[in-house]
Amino acid sequence: MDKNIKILIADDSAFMRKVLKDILAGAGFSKFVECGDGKECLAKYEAEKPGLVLLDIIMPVVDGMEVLKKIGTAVKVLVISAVGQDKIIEETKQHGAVGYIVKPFDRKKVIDEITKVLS
Amino acid sequence: MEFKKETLQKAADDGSQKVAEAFSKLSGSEVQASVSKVETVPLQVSLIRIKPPGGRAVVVYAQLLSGVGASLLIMSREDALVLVDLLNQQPVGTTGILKDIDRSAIKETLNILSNSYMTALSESANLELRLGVPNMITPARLEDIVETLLEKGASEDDIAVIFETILVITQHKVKASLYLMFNERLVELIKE
Repeated sequence: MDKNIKILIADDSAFMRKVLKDILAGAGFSKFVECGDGKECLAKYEAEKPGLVLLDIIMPVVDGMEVLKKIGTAVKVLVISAVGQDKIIEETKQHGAVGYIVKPFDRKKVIDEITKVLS
Repeated sequence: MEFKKETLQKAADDGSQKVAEAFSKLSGSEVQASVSKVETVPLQVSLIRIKPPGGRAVVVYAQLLSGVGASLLIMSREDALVLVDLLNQQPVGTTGILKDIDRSAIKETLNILSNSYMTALSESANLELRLGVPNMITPARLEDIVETLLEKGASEDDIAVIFETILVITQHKVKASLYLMFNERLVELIKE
């Protein structure tokens, strides 16, 4: 698994971005880009060309589902969201999400899913 | 928005269980739902229910994207400080003043707990309800909203469905009240 990959973390919660960064850093990843809303996410995606996007659904300005519709088929997107309804989860997969983690999550679950996605 | 009584109660029971599990996972401690109920009540009654407790409190709300309701998380400031320490996996007593990232942690707690409840409503009542971004408001602002609505008086048609769950992190005696309310007038006032 390539741990030099650049990971874009899109979540309006600064706390959640920190939690995810800490988990990823603990697993050996070191290249992170962060954003707090969907519009910023799209801009950072274009500018930074990450290899993996961790995407929240509920975000201001442009929500995660709209972001996913735009980039879901171009990059690996792992959705990490508090939204747990089956219909929403299915919709993200239709738009290209390679995985879905419902918050709150175990740290191990995040690493396992990322390992699966990047393998 | 109308529900059958049995549907509401099942949703409340399922929701409280999901919320307690989620809170336990977040805090790393055992959590019990000490109160779990759902009522269809006059708006005035529901507003009195959500009035912040005396003393300093922390209030987070998120609006339902369809605009017919809102979710509220209310806890004392002291309990919020303990919760922040638990969320950050640091010794209780570390946080003395809420910084921006601590407020972010509390808002995210509402996000996660409310969405757990929404998942239960979806499974019990086959409803797809989406919450918006959480925001923090002052207890004074919430109290103003409540007082304004109470002063204006509620018509007989002003009914609210209110889900109430009181969660306790047993080891630390942290208490948090989670409300899901369905009523359009409350949402309009919070937006002003």
